[in-house]
Amino acid sequence: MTAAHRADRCAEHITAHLAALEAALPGPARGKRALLDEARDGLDDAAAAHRDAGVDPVEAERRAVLDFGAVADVAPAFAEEIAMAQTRRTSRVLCVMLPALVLVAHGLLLLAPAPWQQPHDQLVLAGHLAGVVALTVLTGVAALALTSRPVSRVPDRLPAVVSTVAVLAGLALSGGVAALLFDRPVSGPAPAALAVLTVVGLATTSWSGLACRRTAAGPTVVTPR
Amino acid sequence: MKADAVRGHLDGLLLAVLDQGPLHGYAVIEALQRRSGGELDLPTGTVYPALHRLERVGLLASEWASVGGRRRRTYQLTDAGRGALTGHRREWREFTAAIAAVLRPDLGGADATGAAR
Repeated sequence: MTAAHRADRCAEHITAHLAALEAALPGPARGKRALLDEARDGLDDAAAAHRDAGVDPVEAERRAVLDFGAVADVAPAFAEEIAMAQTRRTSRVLCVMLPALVLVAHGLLLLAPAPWQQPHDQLVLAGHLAGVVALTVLTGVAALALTSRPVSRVPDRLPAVVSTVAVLAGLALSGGVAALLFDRPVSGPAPAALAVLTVVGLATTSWSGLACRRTAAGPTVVTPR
Repeated sequence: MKADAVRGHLDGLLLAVLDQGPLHGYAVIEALQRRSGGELDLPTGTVYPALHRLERVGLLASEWASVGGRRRRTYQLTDAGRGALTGHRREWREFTAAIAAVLRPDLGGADATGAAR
């Protein structure tokens, strides 16, 4: 066997193991990347250490994978951390994106002629939007606090709760902002900008919320030893 | 030592290894194996998510650094991490003292607490 063939077999061994791990992990690829890249570096280092100790290159890769652990053994820890990271990302969206969207919408209403004469139902809608914002911010802050404390155990259902709040709040706020926009037309480019912001806000929040729900599902192909 | 026995102490072990200075992921694993004399039978793959978790809760900080010509994510203890390590060490001393007191063969069935008085 040539050195090139050996290298190919080595790369295949580690790559196949990491591919199996990645396939077992839920959620978007971007959320898994940092952990899997670090694991790849570690596997390469471990194989190099075995080679330096005089082990055959192919056997060195096999031992590195063996030391790393079976997918069934390591996937739960990877999945839990990926879910926590996604929950924190979605929580930050809840704390920043949606309040910003509503603030801009309210600011835009002030640009309308005689904003103090807005119809009663507009004021009620604005009040409801403020309530939804308060709920989303509260949920986001609570999730960030729960996932950053070393002593407390994170509730298992937290990613699912954050996901549900993100999707529902995204829909409610985007619909509310659209209603405010169309019921109270404002001249100039601001309405178009708000419409774009609303679509971006809805897309970002919904994607993040759905990603959060996917990561909450846990590893998919893990079988007990 | 079996992986199940190690798992409950993994946080303390990782913090203790990093008490000596910043290390990247595989260097942490090497240090664990070296300091335990190769007795810790732990899947090394579990170390990476554990490092991320400890960073998430503020016990570690990480930064990208060039190690051996490659960019690596290196971890180091935060002040909160040092405090947590002190707590882990105290709990371990208390735990081992209590277990040792019960397991001591010279006491037989006698009450270790009473015997110590």
